[in-house]
Amino acid sequence: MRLPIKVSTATSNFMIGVTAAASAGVYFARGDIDPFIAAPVAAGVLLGSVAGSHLLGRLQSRVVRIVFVVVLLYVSGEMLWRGVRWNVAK
Amino acid sequence: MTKTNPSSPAPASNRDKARQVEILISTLLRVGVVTSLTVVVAGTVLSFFHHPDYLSSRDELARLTKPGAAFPHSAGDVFSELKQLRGRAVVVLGLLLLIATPVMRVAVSVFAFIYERDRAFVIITATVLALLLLSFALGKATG
Repeated sequence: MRLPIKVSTATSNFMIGVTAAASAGVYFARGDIDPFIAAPVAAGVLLGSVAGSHLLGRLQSRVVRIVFVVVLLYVSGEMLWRGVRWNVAK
Repeated sequence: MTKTNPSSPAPASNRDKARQVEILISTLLRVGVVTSLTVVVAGTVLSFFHHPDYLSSRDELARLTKPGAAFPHSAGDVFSELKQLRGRAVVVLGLLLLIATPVMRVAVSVFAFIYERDRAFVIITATVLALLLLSFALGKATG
């Protein structure tokens, strides 16, 4: 993708941030956001994003990609395991 | 003219304006995120302070996050619970600040593009803001 970095960050800011805010507002108005589940998630995401933006400048993109793949594999493995266990328990 | 590049003063001043706007928006996002994080953490601490049994009993803690638990989600409820200093209302206030931050960002962008005299982007951004507010209104109406 040969998009200039400014264009892509602006697009992502506008599209991801704004659409997420719109859906978050709707979920909230309908009472579907449990504050005590959202609170630790919000704290973790915000601290993680600050740490991530500081680390990003110092890490090689190859390292970032490998870490990302490992994390995704772990998460998908856990989801699979939960799904299998749930069906067995039933 | 005190400009360093007198041959093209207009692009330079446009760049200065864009820079000012970028800094303003980055400050807004930073302040919004830090404020909401502070309020969310304060609300959580307040909640555990009011109910120390959350820390000692796993069952009590599970009750806090069990599905279908009632919590304030209208402006009136949040406000009346805030007056009683309930932890969950403070957490909700923090989450509302977090949701409002990108909305404020778009609102500020509308004025920023007016300041930069970029008509096309004023229209685009105003449309985005209008759709955003419309989605909040529609979400509330069906809820």
